[in-house]
Amino acid sequence: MTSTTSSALRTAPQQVSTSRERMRSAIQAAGMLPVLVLLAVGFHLLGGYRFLSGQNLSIVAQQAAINIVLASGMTFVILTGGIDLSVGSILAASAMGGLIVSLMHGFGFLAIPACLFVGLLIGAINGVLIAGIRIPPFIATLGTLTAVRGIARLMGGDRTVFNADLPYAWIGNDGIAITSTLVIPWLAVIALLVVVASWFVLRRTVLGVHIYAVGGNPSAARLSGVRVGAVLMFVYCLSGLLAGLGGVMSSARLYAANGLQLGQSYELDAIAAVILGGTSFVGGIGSIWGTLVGGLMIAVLTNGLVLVGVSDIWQFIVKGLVIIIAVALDRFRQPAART
Amino acid sequence: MLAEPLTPVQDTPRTGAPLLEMRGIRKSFSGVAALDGIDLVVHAGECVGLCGENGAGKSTMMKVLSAVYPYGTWEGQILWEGRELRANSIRDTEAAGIVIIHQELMLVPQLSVAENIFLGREPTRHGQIDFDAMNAQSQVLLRRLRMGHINPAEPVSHYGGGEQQLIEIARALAKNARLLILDEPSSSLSRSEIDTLLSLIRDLKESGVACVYISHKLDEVAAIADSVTVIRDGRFIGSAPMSGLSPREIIRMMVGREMTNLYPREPHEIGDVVFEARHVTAFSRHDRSRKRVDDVSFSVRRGEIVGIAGLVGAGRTELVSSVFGSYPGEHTAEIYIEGRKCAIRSPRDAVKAGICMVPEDRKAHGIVPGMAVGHNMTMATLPQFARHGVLDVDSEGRAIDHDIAAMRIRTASPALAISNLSGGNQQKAVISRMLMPKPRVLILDEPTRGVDVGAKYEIYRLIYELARDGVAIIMVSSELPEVLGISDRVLVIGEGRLRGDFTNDGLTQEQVLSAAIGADTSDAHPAQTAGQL
Ligand SMILES: Nc1ncnc2c1ncn2[C@@H]1O[C@H](COP(=O)(O)OP(=O)(O)OP(=O)(O)O)[C@@H](O)[C@H]1O
Ligand SMILES: [Mg+2]
Repeated sequence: MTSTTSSALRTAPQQVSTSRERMRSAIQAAGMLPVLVLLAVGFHLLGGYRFLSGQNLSIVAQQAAINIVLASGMTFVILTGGIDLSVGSILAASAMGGLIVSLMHGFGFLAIPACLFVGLLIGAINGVLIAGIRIPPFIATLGTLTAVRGIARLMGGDRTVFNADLPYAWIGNDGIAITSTLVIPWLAVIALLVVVASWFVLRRTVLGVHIYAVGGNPSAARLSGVRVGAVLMFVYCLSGLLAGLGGVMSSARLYAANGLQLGQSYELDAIAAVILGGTSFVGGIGSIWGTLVGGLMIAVLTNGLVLVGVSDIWQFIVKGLVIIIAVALDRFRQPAART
Repeated sequence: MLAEPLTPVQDTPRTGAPLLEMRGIRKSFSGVAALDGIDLVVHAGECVGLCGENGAGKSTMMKVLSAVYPYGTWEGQILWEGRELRANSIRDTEAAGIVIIHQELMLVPQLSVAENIFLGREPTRHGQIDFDAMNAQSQVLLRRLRMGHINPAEPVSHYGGGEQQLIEIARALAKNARLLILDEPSSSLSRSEIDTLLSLIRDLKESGVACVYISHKLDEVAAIADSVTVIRDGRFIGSAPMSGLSPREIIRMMVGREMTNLYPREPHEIGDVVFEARHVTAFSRHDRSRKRVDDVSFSVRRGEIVGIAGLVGAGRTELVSSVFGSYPGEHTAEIYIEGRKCAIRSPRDAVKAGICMVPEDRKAHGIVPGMAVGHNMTMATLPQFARHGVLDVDSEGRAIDHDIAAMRIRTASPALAISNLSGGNQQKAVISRMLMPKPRVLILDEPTRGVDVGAKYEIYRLIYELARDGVAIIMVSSELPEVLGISDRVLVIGEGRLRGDFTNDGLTQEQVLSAAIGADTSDAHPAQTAGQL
């Protein structure tokens, strides 16, 4: 700090404090946004000016959508200091459930509710294991990750279930046409709605504050009369439900589901999005907007690397490095929290 | 309130360069000045008391000194043995011999006592940690602290707050400090532990170690400090040898006005019994055959302030947390509110029944560190500000602003994370959280711990206001003058049993103390027990 700024501070502390405060909070809210923009522009320049075309952007949005929905649920869970490793498996099981119901004559309209129900049910099981029996979240959801994967395979007799006349296929393939080239896919609309609803719950409801309180100091929350168990139950149910919604979205896109392959390691991308978004792994600190930006970053990377012509193997390496560097930069940017 | 001055104050003029000289230190947080030109001088072998109200900037000053805030993040100059010190990290300052013991404990609960003491400097042999040497050296250190009963190989979490504080001090000693900074070291210590600490500091002074002692307990400062530096609102107020000062004068320098009365005791109306606890029994969490509270029954009337006194470890916190439904071990209690029996199985049940509690350990059970000051205050009453679960942000904000003003909580904004506030201001926020549900019975467990004189006075006044409004108040406190200063009735707990129930009408410290240690009141030994609580 130079002496000139300091004398300014003393003459008009209030003024300086507010404008500075505003700038700092703006930077904090923006988080990874500059990195996201930088990546997009970089890919545009390197990839023959195709990246920022309307068509490609709607592909990116589509690719990002499912991960953002899963990551939204993951944000709630991580805010309470937990983790949900089972979302990929839940997505597979619920997609299987949806397709099977859609093939039942006369019950096709129940396909989407079936997807959501499967997700909610498994989420509730996670919730009971964690809030009721008090199994650590990592272990409980590691268990359901494995078991539900098996169930998903069992549901289709370990074969791909296919429905060419999937009643809700429009969700995965249509969108709102703005111009002839620019279409906003329904998948992206759903993801955005989920993000906005999540923001509302987290920032504008009693439950939201309680989620932050449980993550920040469960003991203080309990002593203040917060129902810690109910809050945990809610976040795992929600994460399951949103994974079920992810099942709707991916089966709608593919007209098919395979219990073995669908949703493999989706939980890792969801966790990466939350972490890139700056949510603290120990709970209590974070925001859904960060998760949105984090999810977009992962999609931009995936799409951009293909566009630029990076080989499959190098895509993994580059993606991993970017995640690590981005979070490291973030640590560097934030004021040192040493105590 | 002043204990007997234990060290005759040396007023010898100092010769030679001081060990430490801090000049014109300024530090601001996002534009708000926390320190605005503070000077501090410490000579070798001298103990300087650093006094100031909550949020005055004492902890910040010491964080500047110990490079928690590294060189360049503040302005001013630090001279260490006459040479400028530009430290970038705690490692640098510790290498120079400056060791800080923070206000909040910094131990790793799962590690053993010895591992904590030698954390980062583990003795090794052939590249492996030499546990035998580590335990043996820890044992020596602990004996010096008269804590020989602590087993260095046991996890820190097995020991209570006071013992942990002394373990923290042992850790600082192991670093060969030349200047020891103690930031409110005594707030969780019992009287005898404090005496141990003070005599230890005296030993250290004799061997040439200097120290900076921060405490809101001015009798301790008077007993140990050679000189006092007072800061207020981040500004330097003055420095003077202790010999020329009385605690009263220090208070005047701290708050900037004369404080005539420490306890604003007012007459107020006491009504019928609202709260009754029968047969409260609580078992030790580690050893289920041991009773921490043994069949205690008591009642509180409308508008009555009941103080609960007793030695540290007597079972007072266990008693009130059993009543509140938050005691983690096995416990039983029959609770009646206005004669109606209430089943209280959790704090939630208690809050619903109209019983609120401000817990003892602010860091572990009080604050939610990353959350805004405002939400920390409304956490227990959010549904009041909501319709169908959706918050009315404006009405919540108004309630927060109102309480911040009423409790005089010093914060740059209600949206600031509470961990940025000074200890005393955090405490006020936690208290106001538990006032928002408008309880019929309010339990305060050590409500003024780490709170400055001015804020203490405000908290007492608040307690009186609540009592006037008919709230029944139960206050646990280790500070006997405080218990006697504000209670209408005093319950004395000793070894988990109710040992006395006194109307506070000319009650003396001696009476309470002899009840606490289990002596018959008729043959109390005032000389032996005075000031021992
Ligand atoms: N990291 C931070 N960000 C913003 N403000 C801060 C931060 N740390 C301290 N402050 C502010 O600086 C002021 C001084 O705080 P400090 O902790 O030094 O007080 P203190 O004298 O130690 O009080 P106490 O007796 O309550 O411990 C307070 O107003 C506090 O809110
Ligand atoms: Mg402090």
